[in-house]
Amino acid sequence: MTTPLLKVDDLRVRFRTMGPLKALAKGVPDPYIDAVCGVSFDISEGETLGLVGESGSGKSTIARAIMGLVPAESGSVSFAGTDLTALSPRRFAPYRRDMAMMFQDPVGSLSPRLTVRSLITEPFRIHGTGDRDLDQEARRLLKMVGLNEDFARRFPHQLSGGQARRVGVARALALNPKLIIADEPTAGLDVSVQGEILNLFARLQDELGLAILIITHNLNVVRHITDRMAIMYLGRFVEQGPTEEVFYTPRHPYTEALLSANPEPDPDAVLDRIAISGEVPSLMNRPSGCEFHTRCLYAQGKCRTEAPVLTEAGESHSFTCHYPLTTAHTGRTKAAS
Amino acid sequence: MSTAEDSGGTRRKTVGDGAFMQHLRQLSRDQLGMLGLILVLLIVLGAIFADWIVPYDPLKIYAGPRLAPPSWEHWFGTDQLGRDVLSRVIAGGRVALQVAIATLAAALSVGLLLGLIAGYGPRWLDNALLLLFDAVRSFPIIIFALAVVTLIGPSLYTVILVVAITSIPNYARIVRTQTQAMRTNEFILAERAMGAGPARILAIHILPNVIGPLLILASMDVPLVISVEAGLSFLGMGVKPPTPSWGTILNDGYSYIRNSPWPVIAGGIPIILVTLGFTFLGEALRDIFDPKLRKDL
Amino acid sequence: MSAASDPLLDVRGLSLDFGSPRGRIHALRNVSLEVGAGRVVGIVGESGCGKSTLAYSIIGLLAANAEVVGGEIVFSGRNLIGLPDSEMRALRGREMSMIFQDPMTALNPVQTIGAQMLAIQYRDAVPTREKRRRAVEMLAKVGIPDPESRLKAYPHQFSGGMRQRICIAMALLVNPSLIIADEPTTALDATLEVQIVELLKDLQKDMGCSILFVSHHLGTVAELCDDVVVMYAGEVVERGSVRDIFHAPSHPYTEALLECDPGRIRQKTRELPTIPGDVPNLIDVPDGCIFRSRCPKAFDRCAREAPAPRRVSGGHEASCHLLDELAEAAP
Repeated sequence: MTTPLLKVDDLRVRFRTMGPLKALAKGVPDPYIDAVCGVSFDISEGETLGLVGESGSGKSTIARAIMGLVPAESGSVSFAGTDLTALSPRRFAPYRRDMAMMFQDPVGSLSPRLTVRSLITEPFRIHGTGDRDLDQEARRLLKMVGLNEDFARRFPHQLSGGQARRVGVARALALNPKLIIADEPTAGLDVSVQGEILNLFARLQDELGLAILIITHNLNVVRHITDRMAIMYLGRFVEQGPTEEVFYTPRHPYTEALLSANPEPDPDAVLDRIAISGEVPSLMNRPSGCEFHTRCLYAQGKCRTEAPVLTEAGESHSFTCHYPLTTAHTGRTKAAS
Repeated sequence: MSTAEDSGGTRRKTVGDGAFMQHLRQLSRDQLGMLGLILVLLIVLGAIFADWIVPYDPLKIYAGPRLAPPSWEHWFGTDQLGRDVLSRVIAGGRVALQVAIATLAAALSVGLLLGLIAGYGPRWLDNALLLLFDAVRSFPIIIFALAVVTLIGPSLYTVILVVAITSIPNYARIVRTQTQAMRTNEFILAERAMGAGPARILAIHILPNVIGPLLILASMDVPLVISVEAGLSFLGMGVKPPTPSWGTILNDGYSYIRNSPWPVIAGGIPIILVTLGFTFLGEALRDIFDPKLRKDL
Repeated sequence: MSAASDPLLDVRGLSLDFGSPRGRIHALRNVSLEVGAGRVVGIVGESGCGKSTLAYSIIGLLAANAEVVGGEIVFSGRNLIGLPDSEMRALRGREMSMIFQDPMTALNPVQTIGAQMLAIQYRDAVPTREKRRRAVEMLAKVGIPDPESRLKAYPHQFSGGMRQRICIAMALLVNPSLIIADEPTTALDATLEVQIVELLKDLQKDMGCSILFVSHHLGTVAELCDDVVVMYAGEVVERGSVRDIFHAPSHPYTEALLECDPGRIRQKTRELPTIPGDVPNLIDVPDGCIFRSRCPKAFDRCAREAPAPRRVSGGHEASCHLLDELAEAAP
């Protein structure tokens, strides 16, 4: 087995909630929230991993930690063997050519006063272009993402959501990265346009051998485009494995709940819904034991007191639960499927 | 799409259906704004071409009635030395504009720089700069002017220096607030993710977005600056005689107000017009550039 | 649609323009739909189709540059177009209420929940004690735990899902006959969305009001609504009962939309269906069928003539020339 392209090992990220003086005054011993609590995964070349979770689960934070935008408290992020967390900003800089990120807000992640041409050639200007003809590069990139050449002169506010997304992809591809991190690539896009972006990812992956990390809360997207997926809750992975396997035989109750919270566009679909009650607890008030126990249908005594350990279930499929599900997930089945 | 922008941040405009023409058209629909534009143009052109349009030499003393009321020969009458007041008023516009432009240019550039640094830099730097701004702002202008005058004597440069320094904190604060707000925007995060350093981010991505409102605010400060100059000159801390400035005209007229009210009125009128003109224009520009009021988005 | 008695809301041929520097945007063109008493009607469509504009024109909260250029909105027998402001205000928050998309900004951040919930009952001549009781009762109904003490809390102390529930409680508090919900679940995670939908279903059965539910989530609409209206680029292209629309879509756009929904696609695929092309320019509305440029089944008649709504079955209509052809072909 070759070294994976990206290897994240026991990553932890904390954020300060208040300054040291205020914490002292209020008697708060540990004024931090743990956004990411010991997450491990890896992505090989040409592979797509989906990170799934609700808002506040920490998935965007992981992406930012990988890109060096937020500091890691502990753990490591290795890219092609090198530990990025140990590098100074200056030494980190060249790696930004190999990893590119696309952000959630398609138009908001584009600098409003620059033309599309300037936006997609920005990576060249930052990292030094040598003698490259930027106009030519811009044309090449636009073509790669399926946009007409005259988009080069447009401004972000003149683009539709789908077009702005493509510009984001073009910009991410500028320096031929090996890994692309896409934060909610289909959010805000109409259903008829979502497919365009996802198909684009699939094509680019086939053509360029890209590794892709997709962050989303949309399980439908995950199913079609990822090889493996990881489900997050309150900063931890609760389940991780090959997509089809996790979809059809989920082991963790949260995974099951997420899968059934997917309304089907069919009024006659039998609602075999696992109702998940309540809301995600605040990161400042983490439940004891298994953190999901407050919303879990199957919670029992042990779940309240003891945190579950990582269990393997078949090849590269793991989960953390005391009482994992054993039957195949039937989800919501139509009367005649 | 005729407004092109390279990433150096400079705007090259071509006439046509680009943003500039569109803004001009929008301005033409705002009546007060147009009035403001006309007034401003009048004053600016008057100042530039003063030498050619003055009916008399503003410095020359004419043998004739002193403190005369307006007449066909002297539209604003004459002052206490027999000089034509109208000519002095027109020439005084030059001083006013010189002060305004120099002051605002200096205050804007320094304020912009400091504001960007305060807004984007580390907390301690921000706190230090805020302390500096507040210190400068807490100084009453007149006292500060007195101190400067004592050091370098009264002159046009004194006025410019004083007004510039006292204007910097306001602009810096505005830039700082906007920078801070923009710092967490996604496109800034995206730039950082690509490896852009703070200098690049400030110069190319933040500066162009904060400068618009700043310029409009500055244009609305022009009458204020001119009034301050007039005030300082009135108090004898600014331009020295016989150079005409609106402040000195007011000052002279004030001494002789019992003999003739006309010099005071004449000195006051341009200040009123300038204030109205720049205020109307500034507000109209602000409405045009405020994206929330734009209907084409 | 249910036409047993006069519908509660009857939009007839509504056309609306927005003024803009580049010309008039014909945002709504000849839109007709009905909401029967006690029915849940969903409006589905994608960005720019005008569904939110339609919702706002019914409740009368349009921007200053909007102009109704034709049609009527008949609510409980009265035409809302041209109704004086004072009468419109009497309707809003009484017989008609609205739930907005963003729970974060829909509540006043500087007032407690209790104050806001009491304030909207201002028209009722009952003592404050009674208003409080009603507020607490409604909060309990929408699932806010410990409602009595929560009245003193401020909006920022609640999570997004809770805030949306509070907004729903406020909308129902005045016991309206019609609730207009503009994408109320779009800003929420899937698990919360499911909860809100269940809540709306239960409340609607309990209180018997009608709901006009605007959304682009097909799954949610399928689950919640009795009737569905499909909009595209400012026009209604198809309407019918929820089963008509989802099981027997008769307009090519509806068919395409359903195909594109990744939730519907059973087999894992790397090549997802899309609708190629862009929504047409609404300043210069093209002749003929509005969907023609993106329709896989278009033929020459579509370019010349805009199709009129044609009956597919009782209460199910679609605006497509193909239906004519089918009718002609049938014996």
